[in-house]
Amino acid sequence: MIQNLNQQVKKSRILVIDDSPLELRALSMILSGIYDVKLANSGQIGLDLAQKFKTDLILLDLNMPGISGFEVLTKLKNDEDLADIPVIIVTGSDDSADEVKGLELGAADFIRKPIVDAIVKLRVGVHLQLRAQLKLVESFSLVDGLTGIGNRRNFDQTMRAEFRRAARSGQPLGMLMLDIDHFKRFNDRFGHINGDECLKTVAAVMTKTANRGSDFVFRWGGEEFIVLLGETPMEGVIAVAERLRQNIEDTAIYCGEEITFATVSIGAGAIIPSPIGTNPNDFKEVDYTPEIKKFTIAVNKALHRAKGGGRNRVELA
Amino acid sequence: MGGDDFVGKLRIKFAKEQGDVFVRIQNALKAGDIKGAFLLVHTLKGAAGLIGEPMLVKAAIAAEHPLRHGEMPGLIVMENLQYTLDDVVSAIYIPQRQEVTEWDKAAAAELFDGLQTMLAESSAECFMILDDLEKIPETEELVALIEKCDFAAALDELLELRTKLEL
Repeated sequence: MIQNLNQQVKKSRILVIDDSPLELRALSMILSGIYDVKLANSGQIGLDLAQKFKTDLILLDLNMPGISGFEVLTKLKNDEDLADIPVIIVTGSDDSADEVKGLELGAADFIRKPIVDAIVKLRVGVHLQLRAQLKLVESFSLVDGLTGIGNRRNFDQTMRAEFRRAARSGQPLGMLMLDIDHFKRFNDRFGHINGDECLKTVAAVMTKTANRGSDFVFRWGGEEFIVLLGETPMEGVIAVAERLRQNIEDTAIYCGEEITFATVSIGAGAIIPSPIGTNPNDFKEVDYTPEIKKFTIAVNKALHRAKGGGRNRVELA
Repeated sequence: MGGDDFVGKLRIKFAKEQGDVFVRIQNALKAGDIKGAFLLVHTLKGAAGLIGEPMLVKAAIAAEHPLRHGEMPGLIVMENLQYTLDDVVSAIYIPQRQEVTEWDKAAAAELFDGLQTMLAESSAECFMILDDLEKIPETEELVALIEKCDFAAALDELLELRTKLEL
């Protein structure tokens, strides 16, 4: 586990935001051999890069023309997607009021200029380790214990994040809701232990079938599952739904000595969330809860139509 | 901090980047842009510390203090900053770029492929190929933009060069 954490830390991506090319160069020379380092020579470019690339830690200068370090920090901490990225302020300021303000705004630490490479490496390493440990603990609370895929809480978080991402990019977000057909009958016939085997098998097929980096699979509850398909238009959603339905139908479920098969009914939909405003930062303030609820209900209704229409089929929202 | 090579590279970059900063500070002050002058002096202070020049750090601190409070620095403070900066910059040897006579077009194309991705991703890796980049003709502007960390402009320049050099 510790070894995995260390490997994860070594793969970390660090974003350095500083208006001085000399400081950027120095920090990149210190960190580049160890981490994937991205550089921004202004606060705005830094914010754009943080949204574009998954970032594990940010080194932030305070005194910059345009958007100051404090403003960047405030925007990061007000952004649900970016708020948990640890920010280390790198500053030449010896004013303790700046340090207090930075920490109050949510900075994780301070490094004083002129920078000392050993201090930079050690402080960055400590905060990346802490973040990796926190992520590990968080991940335990987001996984369904039986199937190993995302749980309901994970779905709620991911759905909000993917909805905002889709609103920003203008790309459609696809969603599938699956229900195992006649699951009660399956349990009655094969027993609950084999019922669990059935749930695990379906989850494994889902993970294998929806396997792009932008695909997410969840157990919604009981015998219901959800797949989120990032950047997928309706035709792609239909194709994945049909492939998934077929793959599940074709996969054997081992119940002791017996082999059996299950089918699923699927509701499918795609949406491009409505953007509000033209400034990309406006998306942060939008509460998409009502729109998410409406979309989820529509896909759920499609699932009920699939069940009512004879099961083992896909219906569109 | 770091080894001799590391500091040596930073000193050259310091001379290129900060060599004319006193003129820029004066221009800002003449225009009444105290905040702009403060940012320039503040950056100079950090850069001087980075290359291990404590006298210049002190001179910058003396100028930074009144500017932070919206006041003009005194004449002696400014003169001291100018002379100390001149002493530091004049002691740094900036190697001249060699004229490119022969170059490998296939290798250059491969280098440009990699660089294009690095610039699009604002990746610090692009600093590692600057020496190789200088062996390709007409890359002075591209190298300068990368050194300024202006990756968007560097990417535009790279795409123009690809067309021009048929790479």
